Amino acid sequence: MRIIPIDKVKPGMVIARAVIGSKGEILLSSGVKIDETYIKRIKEIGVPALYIRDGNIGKVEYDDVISEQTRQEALKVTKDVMNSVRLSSDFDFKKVKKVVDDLVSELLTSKDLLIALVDMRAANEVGFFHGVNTTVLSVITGIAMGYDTKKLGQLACGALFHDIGTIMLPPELMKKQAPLSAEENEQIMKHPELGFNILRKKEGVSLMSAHVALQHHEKYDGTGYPRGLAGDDISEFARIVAIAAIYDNLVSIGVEAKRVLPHQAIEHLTLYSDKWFDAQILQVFIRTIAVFPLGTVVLLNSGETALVTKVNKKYPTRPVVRVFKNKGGRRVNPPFEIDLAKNQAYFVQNIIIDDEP
Amino acid sequence: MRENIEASYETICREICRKLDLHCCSIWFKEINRQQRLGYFEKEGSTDDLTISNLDFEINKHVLEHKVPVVIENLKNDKRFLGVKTIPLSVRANPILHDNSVIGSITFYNQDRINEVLRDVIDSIAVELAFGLEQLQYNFTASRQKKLRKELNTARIIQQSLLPKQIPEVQGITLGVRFIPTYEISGDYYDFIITDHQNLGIVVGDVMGKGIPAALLMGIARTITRSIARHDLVPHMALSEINSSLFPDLSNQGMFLTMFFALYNPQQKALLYASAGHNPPIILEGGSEKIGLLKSRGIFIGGCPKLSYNLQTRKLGSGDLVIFYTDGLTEAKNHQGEQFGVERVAEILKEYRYCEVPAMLDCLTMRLMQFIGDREQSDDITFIVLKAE
Repeated sequence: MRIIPIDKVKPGMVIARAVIGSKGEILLSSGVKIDETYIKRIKEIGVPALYIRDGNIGKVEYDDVISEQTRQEALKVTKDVMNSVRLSSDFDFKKVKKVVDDLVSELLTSKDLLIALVDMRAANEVGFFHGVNTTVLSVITGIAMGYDTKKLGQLACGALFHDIGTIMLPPELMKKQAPLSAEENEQIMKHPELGFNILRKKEGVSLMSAHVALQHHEKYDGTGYPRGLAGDDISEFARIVAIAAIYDNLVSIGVEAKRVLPHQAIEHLTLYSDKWFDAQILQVFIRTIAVFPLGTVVLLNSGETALVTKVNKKYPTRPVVRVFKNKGGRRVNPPFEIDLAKNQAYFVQNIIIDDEP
Repeated sequence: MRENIEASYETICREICRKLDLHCCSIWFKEINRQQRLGYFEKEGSTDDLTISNLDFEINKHVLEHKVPVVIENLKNDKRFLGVKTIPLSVRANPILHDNSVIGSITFYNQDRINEVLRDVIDSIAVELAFGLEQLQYNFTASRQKKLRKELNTARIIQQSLLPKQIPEVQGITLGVRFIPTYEISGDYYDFIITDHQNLGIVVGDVMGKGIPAALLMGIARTITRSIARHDLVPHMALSEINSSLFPDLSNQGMFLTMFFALYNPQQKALLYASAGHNPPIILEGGSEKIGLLKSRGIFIGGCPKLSYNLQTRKLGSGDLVIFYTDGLTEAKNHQGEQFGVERVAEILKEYRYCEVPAMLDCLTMRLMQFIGDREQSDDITFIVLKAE
């Protein structure tokens, strides 16, 4: 399984991890052989890269931080909630509570894991997938900050629905691409308050969670909206979600159809530390990210080309890599693995984005 | 040519397995601190099960590092390399020696016990391979630098073995170091010294010049610095002493070296330092993100018989980052001939300041290597990162 940018994907390649649409629907299942039509469609919706099987390198086994089932369930519940809110301004909290509890307890049992995978998805659509990813990232950060289960549940609920207010805005507006007019911008900037109003009235939803919807666009230096709150006046949950949401958008969608790699996202977030983000939380957050996600092709200082097959929580820049090309560019068959955490003479010299299988 | 050589080692492994009815065979080539697999064959091997292929890396690493054969009667009972997994195979891994130094290794895996007859055959194969591997070593290096001879290579190995293998653990700070040598011998040098009073001495130096003389001088400088630094001499005095001791040898050869000497006191969280014409380390303040240089005036070692240096002191605050380096880092050039520069290093440090020290080193290294790109690295690169908690 390796990450291939969309312009290098060729007919005949086999999908190694399902491609999921912004609404959580499966666009292409794992195991599907890609043809020209699929490639065209994936390009159209703007997915920047795919996970592809590579028989020459072999299988990559991984434990996802949450099970596929829970992820699907979370997507489904989010979708139901959004639909229900649109129709009746109300939703069934019991279902939400269950999926949030499942998510938190699964993450608590897998707390040694890093976010090892990056799921690329289509740009320019507000969807549910972003909510679920943001939740996973936020809860992992919360765990690292020592939160108890109750707080994690409230954080998760807030993260999952931080953008719920957008459902009250005209769908055409949400689909519209930048640049937006001043009026349109003003309208979009209402979504935190709209979301807050939906959540705060709901029985069972903690006011702490509702505040995430209200404050996730506030910035640490007070330049955000809707209220221009600064520093600790912004709720801690909202400060976590603000970081997680931006990170997810950066790595999953990319910028102008170009993938943003995790280390670049780290650079970007750090640049805005203390301006947009709480530096203390950012520091915790950054340490939960695998700098080289699974399936990344890297060039080692030995000149060998290798695939990242296992991430290391303690040393996020020292994964286990599988060497599949020697320094002369010749295939190493079968490949062999080097644990960079145990072999300090080796390091990653570069990330190879355009290596072709 | 190279393509053919590589293909022929694959063939050798396959033929050995066929003729001797072995399960698997591999040949590795030793590089400094690293290893390269030249040939590998595994009966019914598949990319879906890399157990032996992965294990093979570890076994050969052991052989190449320790210069001793590895003999395992049955992998089932051996936890050294495999951990939890077990495979019913016996193993014999031999170093391949030339002129009494290890240049490679060859490993055999067999379903049955490796008996004496087979062992003798295996041992003689290892001997036979020595010549070919030695040739290969010459071929590989010849393309990089024609003049490089075996002696140079040995000198390089000895020189690198003089650098500290372990980074000391000191209360209140985290340290990390990255050394990226070129294919030639040059004079980058660093050291960590725990003093009699439990202070930490940090030394970064650069011998001006290349080749064996530079390597020899580095060795001498290291020994002298260690013995002087051990007794908690303040940095400016230490540099003066080092200069007096080294001057006669240096002036005879017309050589000199730059050196930065810092003494960290864990009780007072203070860094005392002096510089002998060395690049000033960069400091990034944890609280304010302000970037500064640890400047201190002083002439390089070997300039005059008697020299005095300036002592500077800096208290380290929580989150402060200091990077000590040699000019190889800031003067690394990209394709356009542009230098990496102090500003870029500082900027990158800022961007990764929330990462732990090992990750910071790796990210800075990657950004540096991306900058250098295809251009050949022209000088040793050394940098040490110190982060105050």
